[in-house]
Amino acid sequence: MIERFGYPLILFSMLTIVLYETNILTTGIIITLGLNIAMLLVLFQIIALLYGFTKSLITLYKIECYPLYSPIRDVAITEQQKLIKEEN
Amino acid sequence: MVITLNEHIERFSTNQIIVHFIFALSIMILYMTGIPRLYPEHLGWILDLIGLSRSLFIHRLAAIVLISASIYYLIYSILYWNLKNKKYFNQIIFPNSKDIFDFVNDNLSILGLKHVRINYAKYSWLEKGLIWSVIIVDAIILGITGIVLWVPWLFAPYFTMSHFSTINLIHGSFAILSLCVIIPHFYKVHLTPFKFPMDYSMFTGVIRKEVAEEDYPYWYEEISGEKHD
Repeated sequence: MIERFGYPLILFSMLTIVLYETNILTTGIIITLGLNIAMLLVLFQIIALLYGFTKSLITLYKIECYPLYSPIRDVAITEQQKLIKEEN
Repeated sequence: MVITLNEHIERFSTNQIIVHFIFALSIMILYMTGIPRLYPEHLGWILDLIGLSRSLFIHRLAAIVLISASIYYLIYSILYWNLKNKKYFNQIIFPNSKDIFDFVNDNLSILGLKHVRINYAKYSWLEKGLIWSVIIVDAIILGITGIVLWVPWLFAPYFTMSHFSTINLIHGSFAILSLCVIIPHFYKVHLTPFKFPMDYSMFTGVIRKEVAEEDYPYWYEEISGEKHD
């Protein structure tokens, strides 16, 4: 459900930037809302980046600890487990 | 359905993963500390929260990291290009004629004038454009204008007050342009229903065979020899 809001959020924030920069609309709740959504998206991006990179660092650590460890195999096993869960 | 090990393909090297992380994190920090100063009446709360002097310090620190990472990536690219596979590197990193055709076809498809199936190589025109826009716009243009604004007394003998105002305007305008490039990228890798909540390939370095077959058919055909219908 939440993924359906992605496109309107991006479009809305981009439109408010365009409206502000072209001096069509520089004040009001719409502009404030749009610019704050853009900043919130940036904040979410920072969180996503840190989360993703931590994950890859854990993988690197596992490679160091277990020389036979393969990230490809890990991804495959995770997806296999997900599928088994879905089937059950 | 059982997923076998062969169903994943390596797409990004460790170097690319680290450079992407540093680029992305420093750019995001630059947005968070820089954009509110362009819209103080709407985003002033961010500056109030961090503090003006602290936000300036973080902004400059992130800028140094971004410029350093860009210099490193450029040196790495040049060395790799000179010492390793020149032809392969030219194909995957630098924009070529195929990218121009892909760009034209994609835009015609969006406008509904032509219906062509995407046939991207390992990196699409959009991805190549993004990395070069980060290097050219964020690191070079914003970097140079940012340095002038950081230490104006060094450039005072050469520039007048109106020059500084113009440089300030260029810095702000390119920052907004850069934000408008990154936000759709955020949609493409996180918020699109096909990849929600997150596409991990940029962190794990691997991509699923079906995704490669669907999104990058030209590359998939090159590495596997199988043609996708």
